[in-house]
Amino acid sequence: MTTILSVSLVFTLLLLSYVFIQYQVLLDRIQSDYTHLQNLIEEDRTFSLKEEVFQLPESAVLGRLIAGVMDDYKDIRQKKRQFTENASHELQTPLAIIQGHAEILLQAPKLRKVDYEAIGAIMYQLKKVSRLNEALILLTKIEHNGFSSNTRMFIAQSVEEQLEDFEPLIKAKNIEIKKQLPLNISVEMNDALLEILLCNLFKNAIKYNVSRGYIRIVLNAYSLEITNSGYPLNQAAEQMFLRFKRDDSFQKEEGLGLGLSIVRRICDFYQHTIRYEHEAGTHRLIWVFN
Amino acid sequence: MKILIIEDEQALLELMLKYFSREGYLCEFAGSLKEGFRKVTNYSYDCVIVDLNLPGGDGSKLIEMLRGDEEHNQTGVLVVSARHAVQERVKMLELGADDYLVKPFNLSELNARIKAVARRKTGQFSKSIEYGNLVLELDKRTVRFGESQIDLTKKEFDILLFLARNKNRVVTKNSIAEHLWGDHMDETFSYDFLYAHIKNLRRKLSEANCGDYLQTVYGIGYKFEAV
Repeated sequence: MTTILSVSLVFTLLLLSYVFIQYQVLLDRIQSDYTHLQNLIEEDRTFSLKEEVFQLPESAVLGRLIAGVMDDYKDIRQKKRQFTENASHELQTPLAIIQGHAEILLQAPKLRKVDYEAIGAIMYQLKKVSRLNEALILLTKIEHNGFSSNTRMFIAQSVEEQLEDFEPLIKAKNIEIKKQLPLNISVEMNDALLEILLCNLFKNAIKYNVSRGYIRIVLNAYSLEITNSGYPLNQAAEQMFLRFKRDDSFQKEEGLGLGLSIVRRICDFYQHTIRYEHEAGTHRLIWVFN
Repeated sequence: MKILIIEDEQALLELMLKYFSREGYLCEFAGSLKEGFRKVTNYSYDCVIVDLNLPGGDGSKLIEMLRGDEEHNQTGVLVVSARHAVQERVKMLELGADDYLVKPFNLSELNARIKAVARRKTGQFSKSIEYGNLVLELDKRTVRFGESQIDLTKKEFDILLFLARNKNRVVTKNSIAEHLWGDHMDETFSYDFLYAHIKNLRRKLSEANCGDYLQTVYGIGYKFEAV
């Protein structure tokens, strides 16, 4: 009974996340339309909202119209941010509670194999929802300039920190690291965002690597290139930056499919570029600084 | 051991009380910052578990108060919060918190951390954990069975200690993986490494003839059985 209840709870949560994602996609579209409109306004002087233009009767109508649209848009944008923030934060607590109950359920005496399997499935999916939720909070925060304070960050140092974090996994998979990391190269960016960016890049380079493979890291004044051995991709490399696009050559459903879209968001935010190149199992990510 | 849980989410509070009462802790609770202040002023606890977003203010004020007071220096403080930014964690530790756990968390993880904090702060738990002839020396991070030393790697020791601190409970693979590698490791990613460590740990324990303390529970996790 408890199990059925928990399963339906998890299902509801997944459904909720789906609705939430659709909502995001819709709002993203509105945002891109708006950006387009805004560019038009900036390019074309007749659309200017300056007072003299308002004095012409036709422009006044148009001007008011645009001003109205802009107000609406600002309102939608504000509501979107609030919705995402609230939804995500409000989800964390019920998630913690369900997870806790599942843990208590797990301690019950005389559980059968099927019970353990059911509880295991609940906990696994729950973990996924909660990771998804965290990733969406992060994406929203980046979009709404939640990380505004920049400092001078030395790339080589940050890369070394990541390699240290991942060392057990690198060793376990027997991956060879080749690196060219000049110490003096730096970027102006938020320390937390740099960490997230590099962590996602290295996580992929290790996770999708082959046993006894390699990772080559080349840093110069303009870019950081991370090349790794791996399996051939079944889809265009650029597709990998889209949300929820994982390569289907991986049978196991791993990861969320958000890692690289987070990387791209961060690069967009700083007007840097990120490219994915792939050829016969060799994967290369090139991050070009501004 | 006496602990105080300051948490305004009723369901989460009840859950923690249920779990930790079974552990044999004396649990008290507060639902707001004010109530938390009142309790720590009037009573003493070995460990205080505090949420940050509380009715009446931020939980960090309670840490400041505890750390600004000689009398409460021995009280362990464990922050439990939905705020997962690294900066937030650093800030709380600088204020004097002993540990910081992000919501949603595994109860087995919180349990192990409470024990670690209590041991460091109050000496509540002795320098070693003993189960029959199996002895875990916490300062030296070594393991003995009777007279013979069992050489474990750092990770193997960590797994054994984590399971031992949650003895007679089923601990999930995911809890152990998160305990070892933190939250940023994906499940399937880290399970392979976990299996390898557990396999070696078991081999070393059985080579020392110390019987099977570790039980596998239907692919979901492991259990340290102490008779």
